[in-house]
Amino acid sequence: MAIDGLTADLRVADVLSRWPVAMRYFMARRMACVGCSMAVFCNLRAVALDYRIPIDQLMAELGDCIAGQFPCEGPIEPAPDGA
Amino acid sequence: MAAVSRMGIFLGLDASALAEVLAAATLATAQAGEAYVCQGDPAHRFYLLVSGRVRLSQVTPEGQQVVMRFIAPGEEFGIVAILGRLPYPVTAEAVEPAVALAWSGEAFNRLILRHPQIGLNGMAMLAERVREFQDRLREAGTQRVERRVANGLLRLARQAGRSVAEGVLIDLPLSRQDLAEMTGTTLFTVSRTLAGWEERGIISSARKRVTLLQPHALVAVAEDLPEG
Repeated sequence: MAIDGLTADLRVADVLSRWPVAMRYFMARRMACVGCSMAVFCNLRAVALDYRIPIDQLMAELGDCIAGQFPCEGPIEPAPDGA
Repeated sequence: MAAVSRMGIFLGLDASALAEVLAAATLATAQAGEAYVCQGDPAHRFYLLVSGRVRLSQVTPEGQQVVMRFIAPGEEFGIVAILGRLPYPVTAEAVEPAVALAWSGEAFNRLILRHPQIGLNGMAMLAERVREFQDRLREAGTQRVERRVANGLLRLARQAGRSVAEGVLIDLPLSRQDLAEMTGTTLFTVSRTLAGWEERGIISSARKRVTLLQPHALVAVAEDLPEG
């Protein structure tokens, strides 16, 4: 789901401060972004590259999470390719 | 005054309190290589860095110099001066031309008593410093050397990092010897580790400036994350 203001150029720290619920997405995807000292420098585009997830997929899933639709509450989804 | 009001230790002070704080301060400038305070000297003055970079280092009883940390604009050093009757535990040396505000220990104590918010802000800054040193102690005790160097670079990036087109530039003159002393390892190990990371395109270094080209790859080393 597209969220107003959520763009691939936003830095992870900004995403987390604006939508704290996004934490669930990063954790469900087993990403090390929550609490990472580089979160103030890395944008979502860089995260997609680092974790080898297509940026469109990351944006869609993150949007779903913020909208309360990504299955973050249920069983943790394994990240693709063990990333 | 606007710049001073944004500094952590003066957050929340009103304009008249800030004016009082500034009236009690003197400006202290230093050229690169010049020391603000020397380890062992009686601690009379407390400093707040306005611009430039300052390196805090200590010489051990065995004669080895150890870099404790770098001070960025907005951070304080020489806080031991407000306790009175103690020597400076470190040497604070400008690594590039620097400007600092300085207060005598007595004057700063009076300011704290008149404006307790300064004391609270100071405690918050010191608590953060203690946390950082606790992390480093744990790293030094438990982590293999490559992780320590990665953590050292990440810590410097968080403190003095600037986004540039290639990645994150650690915006201070940083020698390999500095990094070795900060991370409790040897110049040889740091050189070998950095060369390996440069080869893999994780960092680049030139003229004593290090740029993190792939911050995530460095986090992966520091945190022992599975390789992507």
